[in-house]
Amino acid sequence: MKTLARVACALTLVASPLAAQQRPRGTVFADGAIVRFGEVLGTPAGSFSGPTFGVEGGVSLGSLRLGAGYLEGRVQPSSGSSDSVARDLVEARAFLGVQLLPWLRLSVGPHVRAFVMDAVTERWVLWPLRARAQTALASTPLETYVELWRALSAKVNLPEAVDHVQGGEAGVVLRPRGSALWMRLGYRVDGAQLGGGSRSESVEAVSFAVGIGSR
Amino acid sequence: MIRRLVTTLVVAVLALVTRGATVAAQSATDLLTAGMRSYQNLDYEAAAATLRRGLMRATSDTFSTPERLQALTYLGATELFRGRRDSAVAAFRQIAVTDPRYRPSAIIFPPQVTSMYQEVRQGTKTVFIQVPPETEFRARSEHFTARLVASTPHDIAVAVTREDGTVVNSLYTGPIDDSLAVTWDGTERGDPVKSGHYLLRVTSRAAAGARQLVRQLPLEIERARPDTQAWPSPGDATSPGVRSGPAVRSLAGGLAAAVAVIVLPSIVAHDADGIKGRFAVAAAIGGAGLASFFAQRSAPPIDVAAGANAAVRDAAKRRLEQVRQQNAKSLAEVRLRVRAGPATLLEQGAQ
Repeated sequence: MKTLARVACALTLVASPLAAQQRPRGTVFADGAIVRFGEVLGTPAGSFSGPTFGVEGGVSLGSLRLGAGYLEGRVQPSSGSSDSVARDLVEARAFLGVQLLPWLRLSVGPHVRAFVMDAVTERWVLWPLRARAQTALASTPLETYVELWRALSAKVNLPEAVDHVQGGEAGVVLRPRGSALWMRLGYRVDGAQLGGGSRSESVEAVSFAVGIGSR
Repeated sequence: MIRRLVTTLVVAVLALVTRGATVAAQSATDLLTAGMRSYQNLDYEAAAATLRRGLMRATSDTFSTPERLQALTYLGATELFRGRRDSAVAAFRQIAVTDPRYRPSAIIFPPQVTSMYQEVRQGTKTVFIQVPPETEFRARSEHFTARLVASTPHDIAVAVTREDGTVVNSLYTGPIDDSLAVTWDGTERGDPVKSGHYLLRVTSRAAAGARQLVRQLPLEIERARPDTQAWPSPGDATSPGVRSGPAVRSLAGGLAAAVAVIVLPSIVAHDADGIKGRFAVAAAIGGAGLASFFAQRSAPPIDVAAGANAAVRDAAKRRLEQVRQQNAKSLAEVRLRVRAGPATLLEQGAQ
């Protein structure tokens, strides 16, 4: 937790002078995704997939960015899956980010994920530190991005201890000239290892988002 | 028994205090009425004594200004008929420095009184200042205006000073007849004054040997913040559609993101199956990188693009210069907010 506080303070300190005397800019987008969730308990135990829908918004003040997002959906067991219990996937996150370079942004903030089943809910509370590189493709209204993250802190209500949680995302953004509207096609994946490798979980998604506002 | 005694005492004290206040409030007006009656009955001794008592009470706001002027007129007339000319002059002088337009009624008072009052008024050289309670104006280009009304034609000197008397700007020196408007552009030696407390001082030039009256008005001056325009965004200065970076860098960026999509599952989640749909995403990203690469290679010759860009840059520069000039103008135009307080009168020693 001390590490988290230090990271948040460092981001704020770096961004504060840069944010001074700037006008805030906002962005908001809606996101639809096809999600696949897999769990391995020594051997593959379950595979689930289904659609999710979410929204995310943020405010930028100079190089400082504050945002929050929410998504939910339902994943169904795939054929051949030994775990046949369908579950709701609910995620919420908030973050404080700083644009260190024109193409590089760091962010940190809580990310909560829950798999809600009829009898029980599996809850994750993560504090990921994210690094995102985004660059424009010359002569086109397109931008590409790659993001990698690793949880500085992770808690889950499972019997196994969490070894690590990490993830990544990459995609392309279409930002038509003269328009505040933009579209994004991306792929994201994250994996958690628990109990010294005795258990692992992964979530991946292909998503399409439509947003309005600044980058 | 003791309790009843204390209650009786409290009630008695309260009754006395209430009655005393009422008597004190009525006394000044009653004294004015009594003094006027004594004057009409030619009992000048009683009239003078009664009016003086009333005027002394008037300092605790029991006399309105018209009542005070009326009392002073009766007192001046009384003292005149008592043969005390100096006292009559003093009473009339108080009227002259209070209200320049006041005249004793020619129906009530005989010509000796009105002519003496006129003589005193003409000898009392003072000026009354009329300004709005609050004024806002642009220093240098606009003006703060004060209207001066003279008790009688004479020479005056008008200046804006600091509270310690240091002259900030001398506004006018010369004669005033009935009235005069003086203006100030809000400057001190050409520059707008700073926020602070100042005085508008009008000194009436008295005859040699006489005491001169100075009317001064406190001015609280505050510099208002200028309104400036926001700078045009940097995006306005770049040519539309042309992003920075060479073709190879765009291709590398696109391909790197495409490769990331393919290999991410094996890097961050060893057990992930990998959605097949991610290959479509990778293809889209890679395609975008290739499109950018070829778009760069088939871009118009540099001189054509440079010509188009130059036109855009020139327009952006013109806009920037326009905003810079407007902001410089706004910053140069200092706005002053002036709040005026109540005027006071000073009497200075003989010159």
